[in-house]
Amino acid sequence: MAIDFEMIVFVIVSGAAIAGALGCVFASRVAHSLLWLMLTFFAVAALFLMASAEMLGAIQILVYLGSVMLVVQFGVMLTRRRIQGTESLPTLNFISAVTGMGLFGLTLALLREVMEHPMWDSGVAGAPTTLDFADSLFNEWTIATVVLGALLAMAMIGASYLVRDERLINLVWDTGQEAVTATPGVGMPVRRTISSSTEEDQEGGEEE
Amino acid sequence: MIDPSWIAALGVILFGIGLLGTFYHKNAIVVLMCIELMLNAANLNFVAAATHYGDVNGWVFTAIAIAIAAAEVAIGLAILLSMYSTQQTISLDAASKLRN
Repeated sequence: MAIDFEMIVFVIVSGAAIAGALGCVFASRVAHSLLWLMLTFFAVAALFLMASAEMLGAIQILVYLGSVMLVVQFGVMLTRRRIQGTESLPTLNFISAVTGMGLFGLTLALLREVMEHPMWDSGVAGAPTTLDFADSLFNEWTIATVVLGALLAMAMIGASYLVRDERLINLVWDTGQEAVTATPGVGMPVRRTISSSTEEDQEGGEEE
Repeated sequence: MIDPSWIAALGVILFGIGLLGTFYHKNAIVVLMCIELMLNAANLNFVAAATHYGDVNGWVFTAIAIAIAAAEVAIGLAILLSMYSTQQTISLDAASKLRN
């Protein structure tokens, strides 16, 4: 049997995917782990291309890698340093070893189930085309697409609400006034509710 | 074309590694990334089945899964940053507010 070029590419790509996944799990710092994960996602995009799903490969690279993972990387690296601390490793070594062996066995059993499933006995029907994909997405699954857009909008609004900045200087800036009291020093933001901060603000003004 | 069962097998391996990571780590951001890994493994299975049967629905499910994963990452990161600013840690052992 002649050397199958596609098989060589598959071995390289899947090796990169597995190496990236292992690096993601066993890297000691969060930023490194995220870079390994991006390698895995690149390999998965290449596998989408090998399965003739060109559109999905483009979505994977443009949306997933280009925006989502990059935003997470910035969010991890540009915020507090202690968030990337290495206190993440397990302390119960015996239990974690048993868990690892159990998961390895589970993966092997799943692998056997998937590879020997009778659905692979029939011939390969061939991949659909991108035109079929667009037709199905915007005709057959229209409602799902619209609901998905609403879900994404809700998620973005909720995320920006969760990370809102409650510092006094920003609240005062929002109302178009100037801050009367001195701003707190550099460091952790001082959390105040709106009512208490306005009271303190008035008191500071009276003292001055 | 390569046999789709190989792609499904790689999906199983990635799923196992992601599951190991969710058990192995205490840092919530790494656990979130391992969940992303498991979602990608599921996507690989969808694509393999779509190629095998010539059915486009597997691709549609994959696209929907990618969009939902994007929303999940945004919400998860926001929750973790908010948790850090209130508790000064994102270790999953410390996240016991709902338990008490």
